[in-house]
Amino acid sequence: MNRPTDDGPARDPLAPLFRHANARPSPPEADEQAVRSLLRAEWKALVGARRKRRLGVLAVAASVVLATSIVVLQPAREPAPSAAALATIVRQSGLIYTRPVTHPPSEARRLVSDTVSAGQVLRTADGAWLGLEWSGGLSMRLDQNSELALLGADAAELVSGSVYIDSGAGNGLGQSAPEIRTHAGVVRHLGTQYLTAIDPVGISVSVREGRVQVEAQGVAATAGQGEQLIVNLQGQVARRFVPTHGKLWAWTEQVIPKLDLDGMSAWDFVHWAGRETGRLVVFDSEAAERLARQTGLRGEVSLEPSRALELILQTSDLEHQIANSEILVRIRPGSS
Amino acid sequence: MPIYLDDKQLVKQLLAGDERAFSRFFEENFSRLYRFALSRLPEDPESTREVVQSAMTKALRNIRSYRGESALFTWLCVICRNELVDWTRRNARYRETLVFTEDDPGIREVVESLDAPDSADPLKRYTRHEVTRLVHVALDRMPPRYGDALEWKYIEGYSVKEIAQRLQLSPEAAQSLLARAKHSFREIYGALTQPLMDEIKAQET
Repeated sequence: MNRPTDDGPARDPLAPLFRHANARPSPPEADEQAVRSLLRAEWKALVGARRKRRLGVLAVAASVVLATSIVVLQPAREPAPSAAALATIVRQSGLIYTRPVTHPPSEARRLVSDTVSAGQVLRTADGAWLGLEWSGGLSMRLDQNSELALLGADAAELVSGSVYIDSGAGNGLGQSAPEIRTHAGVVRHLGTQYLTAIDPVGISVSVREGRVQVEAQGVAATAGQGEQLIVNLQGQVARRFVPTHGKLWAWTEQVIPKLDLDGMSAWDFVHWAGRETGRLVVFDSEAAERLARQTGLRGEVSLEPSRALELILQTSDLEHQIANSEILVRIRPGSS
Repeated sequence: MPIYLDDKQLVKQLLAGDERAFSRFFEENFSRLYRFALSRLPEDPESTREVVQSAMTKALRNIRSYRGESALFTWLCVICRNELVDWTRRNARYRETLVFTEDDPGIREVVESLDAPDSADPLKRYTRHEVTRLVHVALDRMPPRYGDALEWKYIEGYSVKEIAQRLQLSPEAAQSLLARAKHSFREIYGALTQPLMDEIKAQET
């Protein structure tokens, strides 16, 4: 574009040189996403193998939990994800339908692929939930009776129902995340965990962790942890406090991504449960925290966090208690 | 020999499983490496992706061998260059590839060490295309924030205030970063162009 710069050419010897240059070409977005996704898998394998070697001696065996309280339907999948895939399906429960955005709802078909792409509309039936993992690792979960149009890597449109976004611990600012467009405004992710719900008169945006910005009718409002913004179709915004745990968030646990425990310590695991339930993890003693850090886990878990906590910790010398906004962890009485 | 502590730290965090380190590793290097390969496989984005993907995968698998003796991006370029050689061997139509000035070992060494002579004005001698290409090479050889800031300022035309906002810095800090970026650019660009300028001068005399 070569607009004038702050310094005139006379004062800045680089300006004439750059006047002959164009912006550097960017790689195609689909290529970038595909390579990122593949590299991330490579990195995860590398890091997992390394951590497994470190924790192997301390590993607690028999922490493999595959059962789940909801039916996880795994219809025949189409094998290789395409280069243009936006996200991978990591959990699916109940009936999910899809159609291209350009096609009418009557042409929706059962979702059977492993990945989803830009230009697809996803609809969850009654009693159905969907968990997606985007190429950067972001988790997106769709509530029952919801419809979401995937517009691209940077945007999705929530047509009905609720969507939950979790970009991962510590990945807040700067992490690329799609904005959620709704009939009452645009929700932009500035933090890590939030939920957008839609109804005929507007939207509500609840923040569990980090910050979220809602832009409606030319006005922007930001909500922080434990806040909920209610925005109507006229762009009026109301704010209230909401708990970061409990009923409002419960459905998001239905399609929680499967957790690979290999290489994780019990400390990592209880903090995962803390994030997924919006609760603070508290150790009742330094010894308990130390033991949690030294206790390695193996296997994988596909359960709701509260149930997973019960089953996993019972294989160790630790126990827990959930009390409102906290998960209290202590050494099991009588353990050596 | 300088040790690139920032890059070493990034690799350490990467090996520790830090998600932010992975994002930084990818975001700071993928686009630059892509352009590095694309300029050597012109008009072939598909092969470029294949080569870059392979190079970055190999780099990750061998990341423990990175000792910080060169910039991480330079280390990645070495791996990518080897991938390009393998690729051209497998694909005969590309055997006669162009050799770029920055591929000359002498120039490479200078660029990598940033120990470059003063810049020379290339506008009188180079075609616009070559100027653009070398500007891009120089921008990609700089720390990513420097390259981005210069591109935003001179090519996109952003104000210092806008650059500060994009980098989440104060205007004063952005101004300071731009000054460092300009200095770095002059050194790298000078190193890239000096040998060719010398050659032109030699032909004139």
